[in-house]
Amino acid sequence: MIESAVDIIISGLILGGVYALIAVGLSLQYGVGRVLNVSHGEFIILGALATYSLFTALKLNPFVAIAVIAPAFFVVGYALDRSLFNHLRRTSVNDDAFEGRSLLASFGLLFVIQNLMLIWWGANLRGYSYLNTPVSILGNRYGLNRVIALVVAVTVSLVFYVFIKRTRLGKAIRAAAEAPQMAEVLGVNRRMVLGICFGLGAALAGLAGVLYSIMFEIQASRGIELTIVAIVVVVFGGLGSISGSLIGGFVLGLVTSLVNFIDPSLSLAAFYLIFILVLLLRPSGILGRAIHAD
Amino acid sequence: MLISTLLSEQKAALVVMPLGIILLAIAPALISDSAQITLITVLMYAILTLSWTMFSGPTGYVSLATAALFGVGIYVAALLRGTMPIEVIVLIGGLTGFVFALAIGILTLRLRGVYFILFTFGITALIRNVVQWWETHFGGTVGRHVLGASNEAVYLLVTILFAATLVVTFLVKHSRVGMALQAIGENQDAAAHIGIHVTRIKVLTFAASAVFVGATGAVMATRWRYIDPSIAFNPLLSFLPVVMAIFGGTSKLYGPILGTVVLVVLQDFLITEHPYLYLLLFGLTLVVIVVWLPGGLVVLAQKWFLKARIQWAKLQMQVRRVRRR
Amino acid sequence: MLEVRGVSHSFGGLKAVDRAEFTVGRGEVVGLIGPNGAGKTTVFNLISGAIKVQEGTIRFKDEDITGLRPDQVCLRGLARTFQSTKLFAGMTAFENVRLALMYGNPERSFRHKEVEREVNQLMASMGLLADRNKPVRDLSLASRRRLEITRALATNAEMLLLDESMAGLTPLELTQSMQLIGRLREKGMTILMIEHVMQAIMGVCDRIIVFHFGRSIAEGTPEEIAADPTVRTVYLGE
Repeated sequence: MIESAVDIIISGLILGGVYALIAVGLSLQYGVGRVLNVSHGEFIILGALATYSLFTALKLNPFVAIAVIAPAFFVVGYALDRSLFNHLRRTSVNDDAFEGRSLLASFGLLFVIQNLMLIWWGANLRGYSYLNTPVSILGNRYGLNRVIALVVAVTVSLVFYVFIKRTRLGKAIRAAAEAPQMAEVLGVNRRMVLGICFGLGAALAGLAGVLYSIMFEIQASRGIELTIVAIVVVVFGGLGSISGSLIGGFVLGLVTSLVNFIDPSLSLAAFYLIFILVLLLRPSGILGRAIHAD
Repeated sequence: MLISTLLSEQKAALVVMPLGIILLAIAPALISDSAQITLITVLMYAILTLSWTMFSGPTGYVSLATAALFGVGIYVAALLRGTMPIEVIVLIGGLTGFVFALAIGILTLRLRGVYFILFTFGITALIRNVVQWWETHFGGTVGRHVLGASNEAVYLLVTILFAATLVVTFLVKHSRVGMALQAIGENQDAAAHIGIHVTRIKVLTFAASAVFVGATGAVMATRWRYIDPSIAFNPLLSFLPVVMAIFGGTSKLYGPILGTVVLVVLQDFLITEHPYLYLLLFGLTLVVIVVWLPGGLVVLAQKWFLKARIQWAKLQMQVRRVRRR
Repeated sequence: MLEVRGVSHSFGGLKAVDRAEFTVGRGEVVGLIGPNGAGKTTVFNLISGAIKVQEGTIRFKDEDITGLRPDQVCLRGLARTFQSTKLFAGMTAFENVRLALMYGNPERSFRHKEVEREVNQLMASMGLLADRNKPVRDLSLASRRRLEITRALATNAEMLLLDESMAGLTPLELTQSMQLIGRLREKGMTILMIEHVMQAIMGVCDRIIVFHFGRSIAEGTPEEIAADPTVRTVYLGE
């Protein structure tokens, strides 16, 4: 009985680490750039598939692959923001119009990326085995790969949190998010900061993809479910709150683990139940700023 | 309340629409069977695209729930087929779509648009997930067979639904409600302050648009004859109407129809040989149109017509000058 | 006509309106002045229902309107304009007013000819008839402000909340605007106006309320306020 409880908790933390990482990327893109990037899940899957290919073709260690994939994704994300979303910012009459249009654009991006992956990798399940040696923690056995993935996820999340709160660039990002005009006056190059944020979000997605590929099998069409996870975590934690996404990720990881224990096929339903409860009781999320209705 | 301040353009629509519907009605006698099947597909997408535009067009609240509402209609037909006439099933399908959309609307439309969009984004996957779980645990098999209906019957039903959607979309657009929707899309705060119950109008319009989606789902179930959760709740059916509407342009009624026709024909060409390529292309189209050509084909058509009218006027002036000499 | 009693609202940790209390009598033209950030627009938002009242009550025509939605407040005869005009940019001036006429009056006919006649009449009385078919973006600032007031009037308002409707006007436009306020008052309209343009406030208002740190700190006729030492410190010692 206790073993089951411990298992649920540890599995929950492992999942939670991945969820937190997935959510933080999306939160950064929306919180600062106000872009609802529904193609976020596709970036994750792309990262996973890229790692898979690097591993199977070049025998590249996935953790080393991070050093390749994260920067590459950053560049792609930065470029996308400076080209697409920047143009949308300049040509939208107000914030709501921009949010709607950038969402539609990312919706299109979803199908572009997903089908590029389907063309290149096909629709079948792909997977590889890396560091699958069992490790015993508190009486339960886990793959070493998952444990290391958890460690990486938690480390990156903490580093990122410190980065946002303490460093100059982090503060510039928060300034650009919370008080754009003021930030501009203070000399913050807003467009560059926005581009960096989108790029960072993409890089985090890529990183999450690497970790995902270590732990699970990959299917090119599964990106939407990951995006849904990110969305629920972000809304739960509060739209625009990075810390909310981090905390929310771990909380929802634990919840998923519990639901998996009862009936794995209901995890998506559990997520949506939480989504509905948040919308009904506290739409601003646990750490979000209070919002006006309409 | 219908306001009859229709411009000449819209009065033209009042002539073209009935003509078009009559043409559609007599078409089966004139065209081949395979053309009729293509026409069914075109009409199906046209209904989805038009009903999407009815709400999401003027308000800017992008609904990604079309596939969910369509799938719900499919399952209504799958469950009720054989126990009552198809027309009643179609009506129930529409009603079920209404109820689901009402629930989604009540939950999310009192909040900022972001929540509505995000919620509808995942709702299709959720319902598919739940139905799948239910069917495997209580249904035995995951899929269901639906008693088919003849192509002619399906065509007739789809044409009627298309006509209904077209008429309702037209009426809404030119009524007090349509103007309120546009006002909500432009400045929701101001709209509320001049006496518009913003949430109620949004929820009711969204739910009303879902009637046609659910009803069409019920009809198509009898055409496809075998359905399962991944067929019924296919995310493409949320994506394609959006592309078709935006590509065609949402400011005029003919925009979504034009967009549907062009893209369905294109899809027909590409789908067998290059199933992923055509989706890739559509995705690219959406991105390009949204970012660089926001008005869609309608704006291009308007520019073209304007140029044509200017040329025509110039020509007339030249002719008059020649005559005076 | 309008009673604000003990109304408070905080944004996070910031108390924008702090137990504010004032009244406006029927037929009065009252000015609401104060430094930036004093909470004036927030008070308007609380009265019109745009923001939820956290503490206190608001009564209009002897009815408790605290917590009502903006459309409900409007239908009871209280309309407003906004600091940065919130017109429907994709519509013409006529269409803006027409929509307000159709939704702001619960019981009325929507016969096309009648509606058109009424809108034209209203716009003519506000000097906007010539501009009625122009899209909003083609109008001058003064015209847009006037249009917003016209739109508010179209909802059969008995009281108007005007938020800085005189800012950015030329001297001529300012005079015309002040004359408009005078005409409205003659017709029995009650007006509460937020203003920074002192000339307008002094020239048009029966009474002035001075706001600071979310509450009223002084009230009186324009002469009394001009002479009041606390007001001077608030404005000049800032």
